[in-house]
Amino acid sequence: MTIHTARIHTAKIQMACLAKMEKVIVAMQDPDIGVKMKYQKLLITAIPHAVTGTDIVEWLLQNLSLTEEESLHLGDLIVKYGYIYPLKDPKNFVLRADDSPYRFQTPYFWTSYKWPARELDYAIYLAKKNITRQGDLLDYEKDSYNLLHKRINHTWDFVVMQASEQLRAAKQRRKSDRIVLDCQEQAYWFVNRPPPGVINIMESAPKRNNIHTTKVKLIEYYKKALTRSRVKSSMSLEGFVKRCDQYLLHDPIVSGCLPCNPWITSGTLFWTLNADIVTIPTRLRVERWAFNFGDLLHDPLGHQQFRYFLEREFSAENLSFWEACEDVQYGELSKVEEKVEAIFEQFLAAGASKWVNIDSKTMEKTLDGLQIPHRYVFEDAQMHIYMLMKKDSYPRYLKSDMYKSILARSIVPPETKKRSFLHPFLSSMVPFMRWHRHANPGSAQMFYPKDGDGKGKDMTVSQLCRFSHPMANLGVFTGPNIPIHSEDAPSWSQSSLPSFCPGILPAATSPSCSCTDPKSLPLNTDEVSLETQDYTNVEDTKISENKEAEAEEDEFGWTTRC
Amino acid sequence: MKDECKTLLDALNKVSACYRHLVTCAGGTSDSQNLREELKKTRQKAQVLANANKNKLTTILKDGTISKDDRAEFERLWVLFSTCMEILEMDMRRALDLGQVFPLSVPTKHLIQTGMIGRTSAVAARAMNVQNVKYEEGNDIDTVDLNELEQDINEVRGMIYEMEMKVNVLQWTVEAKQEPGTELKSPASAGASSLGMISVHGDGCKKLCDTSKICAGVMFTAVLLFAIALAACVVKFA
Repeated sequence: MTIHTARIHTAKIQMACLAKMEKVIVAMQDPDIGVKMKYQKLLITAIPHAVTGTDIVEWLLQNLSLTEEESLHLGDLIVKYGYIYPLKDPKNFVLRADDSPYRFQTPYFWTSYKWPARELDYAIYLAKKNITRQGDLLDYEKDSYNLLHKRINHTWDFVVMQASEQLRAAKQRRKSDRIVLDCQEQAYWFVNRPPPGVINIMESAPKRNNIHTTKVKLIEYYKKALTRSRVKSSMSLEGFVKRCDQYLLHDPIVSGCLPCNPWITSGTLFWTLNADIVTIPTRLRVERWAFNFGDLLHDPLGHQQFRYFLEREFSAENLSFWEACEDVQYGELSKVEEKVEAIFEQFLAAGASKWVNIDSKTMEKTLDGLQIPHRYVFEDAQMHIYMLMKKDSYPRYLKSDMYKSILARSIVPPETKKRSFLHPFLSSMVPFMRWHRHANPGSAQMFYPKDGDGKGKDMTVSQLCRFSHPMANLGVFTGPNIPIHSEDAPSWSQSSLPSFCPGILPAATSPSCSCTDPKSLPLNTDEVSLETQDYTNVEDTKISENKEAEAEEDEFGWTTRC
Repeated sequence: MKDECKTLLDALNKVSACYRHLVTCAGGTSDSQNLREELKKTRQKAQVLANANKNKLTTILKDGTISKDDRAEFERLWVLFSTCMEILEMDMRRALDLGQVFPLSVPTKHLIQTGMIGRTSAVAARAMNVQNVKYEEGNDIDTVDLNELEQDINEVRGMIYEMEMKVNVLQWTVEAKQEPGTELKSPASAGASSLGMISVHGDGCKKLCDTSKICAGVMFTAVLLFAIALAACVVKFA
C-alpha cells in the first residue's frame, strides 16, 4: 500500500494493445493529417480541441484503411480505454458516430498497467470531489470514500492536506483549463474505478482453454490433499529421535570408526574388516541387521546369511523371487522382457519349480500386467513377498541360532592410534610401545563370550569398544590420540613420549588388529605376528588374570573378544 | 518543534501538489520548454524540502526522550511525510516516463491536444513562493533534464529506503485526526465551491449561481431596454 507499492511498478510493461492505441492517438494529433479539432462552446468559455464522433470514425477509416464497422468498433475501444472521453455524456463511454463531442485524455491519465491507479490517488480525488461538490458524492463514491478512510486511515490526514493543496494549485490556472482538468480526472477515475454495473476494462477475462477441467482437477487434488493423514510433529520428531539414537553408534562421524577412520589415518583396515563377504563381520554390522529388514537385505553378508537361513527353512524361493524382481527393476532395459518371462516361469506359473505364495488378487493383477512387460510389473507381488518375509521369516531369523552365533562370532576391532611418520631408531623401542587403546583405565572390561542369548547386547557398544590394554598403565603413547568417546579420553594417554613413533609401517596400522581375511595382507602378516606375539604374550598374562579363559585365538594370535 | 515540522511538511505538501499538477500537463498542449523547466525547478525545491523534513523528523524520532504523546504526533507526521515522498517519487517517475515518450525537440512526436491551453507558470510560482518564474534553461532541456531527473529519482528512492531503515514507525498505529468529511468544513471548501459552479456537465440540476446571475442580468437588460423603449415612445408621442 504505502512504501512498497512504489517499487513494484517498474516490473510491469504496458499491454501491447494499449501501446498500439497510444500510437493511434499520437498519430491523430498530427496537425496535417490528424483529426480536425473544434471548439467546445460552454457558457462562458470555449474550450478547444474537441472532436466529434464522426470525425474520429472518419479518420480511422481513412488512415488505417478499415471498414466502417471496424473503425467504429476501434474508436469505441479507444473511448472505453479512456484515451478519448465524451464531453456531453460523461457517464457513458461509448463512441457515437455523430457530432457528440469528445476530447483527448492527457498522457498522465492514460490507462496503463505500468502505472496502475492507486488507492491513495483515488482517496485524494474523492476528497477533492467532496470539497468541490460539498459532500455530494455518488453512492458508490461515498462507499469507496468510507472504505478508504478505514483502509488508509494512517495517512488520511495527508489525503485531506494534499486534496486541498491540489485544489489551490489548480486555482492558479485559467478557468477553461480548470474545467478541462476536472473532466480529465473524472474520466480517468471513471475508467479506473468504474461505478457498479459498468464493465471494468482493466480486469482480465478468465482464461478460455479447458478452464473447467483444470479447475476441477485442482479442486480434486486439493480435496485429496486435505484428507491426507498427517503426523503430528511431536510424534514424527520422536520417531526421528529414536532413529538417531538407534543409529548413533553406527555413525562414523559421531561415534567414531573402529578400528580407525580410513580418511584420517589412511588405513584401510576398516574397509577390509567390513568387506562385502567376510567370515568374521564386525559387531556393529551384525547388530545393524536387527534394526530393520532393509538393513539386513541390503548388506551383502546379511543377505547371504538370510539366504542360508531360508534355505534351512525351505522358503528360499521368496528371497530368490525378490532378488529377481529387483534385477528386473534395476537391470538393463533390453533384457527386461526376457527376465520377466523367466520370472514368470520360475516363480509364478502353476507348478513352477520355485512357486511363491502370492495372494490371488495380486497374482491376478500381475498376470494381467504381464501382457505388457515392463520394469515394474512385479511391483505389487514383490512388495507382497517382501512384507511376507519381513513379517514372518525375519523375526525368526533374528531369534535363530544362526544369527546368534554370528553375533557371537563378530568382533569389535579395537581402535588404533593414528601414527605419524616413523623414526627408524625408534623401532627398537617398539617392544615397549603399546598401541594405546582407547580405554577407560578403570574399566578393564574383558569381553566375555556370549552365553548365547544376546547377553552381549546388554552391554552398550561403547563398553564393548573399549579395550583396556594391560600395558597401558605404562603411560606410553604412540602418536596423536584420536579419542572417540571424548568424555572417556583418559588423561594418561597423553603422557610421556609423545613423539615416539612405532616402527611399523602405516600400512598395517596396528598389529593389534587382525586381518580377518588372511589373504589380504600378505606382506604384513609376519610383522603383525611378530608384534602380536610380543604383545599378546604380555596381554595374555594380564588377560588371563581377569577373564575366564574363553577367548579364542585365531591364527594371528589375535584374541577375539565377545 | 512540532510547529516547525508542521510548517515544513505543509510546504512539502504544497510543492508536491504543484508538481503533481505540472506533471499532469506534460505531454499535452500546455507542455512546452517552460513546463519542463518549471518541473525541474519544482522538483529541486521539493527535494530540498524533503531533505529538511527528513533530517528534522529523523533526529526527533531517534531521540528517545520525547513524551509518548509527542512521539505519537511525530509518528503521525512521519507517516504523512513518507506518503508525501511516495507521491513525489511516483510523480517524478511519471515525469521521466512522459518526458521520454514526448520529447519536445522531435517534431514528429506530436503533443496531445488535451484542451489545456493556459500557462502553468502561476502554479510553478506558487510552488516556489515567488512572484514570477524566471526561465533560464536552453532549448535542450528535455534531454538534459531527463538524466538529472533519473538521478534525482534514485536519490529520492535512496532517501525513502534510508527513512525506512533508520526509523521504525509502525504505520498502522497512526490514527487519522480527521474524520471523514472534515474537509468540507475546511476553508478550502469555500473557495472551491466556485469551481463547482463552472462545471457544465449536466450532473445534477443544481442551480448555479452564475447562470442565475446571468439570467438576472439578462432580465435586467431586458427591463432596461423596455424602459428605454417606453421612454422613447413617450417622448415621441409627447
